[in-house]
Formats: sequence, C-alpha cells, structure tokens
Amino acid sequence: MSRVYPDSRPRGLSPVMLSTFGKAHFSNARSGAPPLVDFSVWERTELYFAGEVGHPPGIGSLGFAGGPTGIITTPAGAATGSLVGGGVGWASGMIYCAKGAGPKFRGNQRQNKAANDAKRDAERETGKRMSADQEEKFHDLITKQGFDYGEMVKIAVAILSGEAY
Amino acid sequence: MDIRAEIRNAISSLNGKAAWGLVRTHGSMFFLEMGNPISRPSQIKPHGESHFLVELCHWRFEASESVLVGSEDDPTFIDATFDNLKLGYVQDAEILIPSHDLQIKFSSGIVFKTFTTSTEATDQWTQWQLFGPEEYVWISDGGGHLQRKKRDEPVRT
Repeated sequence: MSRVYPDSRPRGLSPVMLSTFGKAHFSNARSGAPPLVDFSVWERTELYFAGEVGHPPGIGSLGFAGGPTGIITTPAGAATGSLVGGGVGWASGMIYCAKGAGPKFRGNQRQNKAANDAKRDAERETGKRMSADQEEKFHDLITKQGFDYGEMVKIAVAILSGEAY
Repeated sequence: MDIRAEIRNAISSLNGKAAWGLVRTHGSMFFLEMGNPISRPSQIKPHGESHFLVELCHWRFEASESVLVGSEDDPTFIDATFDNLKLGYVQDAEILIPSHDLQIKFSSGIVFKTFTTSTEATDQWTQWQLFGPEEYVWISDGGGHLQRKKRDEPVRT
C-alpha cells in the first residue's frame, strides 16, 4: 500500500481516519442519515474535518454540517487521489484547522474528548450546566460501557433533565 | 485563602488515606478513590470520602523500575492493570505549579502522575476534579485555572 497524495493535499492537516474497508459510519446521530461514504472499494482513505474529531458530523463545536469537508481517496494502484468536497468546502476546512482548535487527540484522548463534547452538547440542548455531582454521575453511568457519542449525549441529557438518578 | 494554597491543603490532607477503586470510565478517564467509601444521596455508586475524577489529561502510574500503565495504553490493558494494582496508602500528594499536574506517591512505591501536554487546552477541558469529603470539589481546567465549587454548583458558567 503506497502513500500517494495529490498535490492539493492541505498542509498542516492530519488524517483522522486511515485505510479501511467497509462503510464508514458518519451518519448524523440526530437525523439518522445514512452513512456518508462507502469505502469498500478504496484501499486507502483519509478524511479531513473542519473541526475537531471524535464526534459525528453536524454536532461539532465548530458547527460544520453535513460531513467531512474533504476526502482524499487513493484507490488501489492509482497514482493520484481525488478530492471530494463536503458540505462546507475545502477552503474553510483549511482555515479552521490551520488556526488550531485545540490539542490534537489520538486514541483514548479522542474518546475522552467525545465524552466531554457529549456533556457540552447536552448542556446546549437542555440549557442547563452540569454540576460536579452530575459529572460524577455521568461517569458512573458510562463506566466501561463503551458508549458512542450519541449514547453519551442521551445519558447527559437524561442527567440534566433529572431523568437519570 | 489563595486557591492554590487551598488546593495544596486539600491534596495534602489525602496523606495517610487508603487508595482504592481505580476504575476507568471511558477512554482513559478514571476514578481514584481515597479514604472510606461513602454512599451519598446524590450518588448512584459509593465513592471514597475523597476521590479524583481524572479526565482530559495525560497520566501514568509508575514503579521504581518501570511504567505500569499510561493514558495512551489500550483500554483493556488499563482495565486489567487497574484491577490488579494495589496502591496502598497515600504517602505524599502534591500539585505542581503552574500546570496543576498531580504527583501522588503511595505506600506501595507506586507513583501516579498527571501532566499537561498542550498550551491550547481551554477551560472547557477539565484535567481532573478532586471531590472532597464535604461539599466542595476542586477542579483543574485545561486552561490553567483552578476552581473550587460546591458539588451541586455548575462546573462551568
């Protein structure tokens, strides 16, 4: 598998998802939209988002809607990749990322950020702020459950709404 | 009292308390309990009279000869290590300035350390929270701020 990038690869951006077969599950958690991209035919795929990673498109703190801002795909044996514009556009993605929206997150840190973003999103949704007691409860409820972002938002909303106690 | 002096006092008050209940919650975030377990009305699980909730920061547990587990290890490895780690009592707990990193030495010889790795973290990213034995919680934000809040008070304004 060769690393081939088109000349237009944005500088300063890091790929957030590398080579995969099968469908990528980036459907919007709220709308229930189907997966945006089927990678099954690609040997290598890289996605670039306009904001931080770790949460489904459309809910990010930077508010981009509709999915990745750009996708570079390199099919097996191809010499160059192709660029597919997303809902916001490639240029804006470069601007957002070049300015930096926080530390880079990998592995566990990405999961940590997803949980943190889930709490913040639930706060926005309910118009309430979590107390330390509620944050503790949130962590008690998600302990070792392996919840995804959408599930954690629901739990946080339930706590803030007094439905989980 | 200055907030840093206050949290130094709160952290040094952990000395001599039994450390237990290391449980990963999600990613590399985890609880570390200290002192006797207490069931409070607001809690769905018993927690120590004092306990840390370590969130958006890097950390590791190390012995004199090796690193035992760290925040970028595989979650299954973290869980297995936490299940078997016997920390003993807190021998010396301190907070480092200006990062507010924690350094806690246990009677087992194991040392727990947190460390900030970015200047871009913001107040929206809590490094750790120390739930005290009474109504107060001390919160170290990624932005370098320390706060003391009541348990039922919003962490962020």
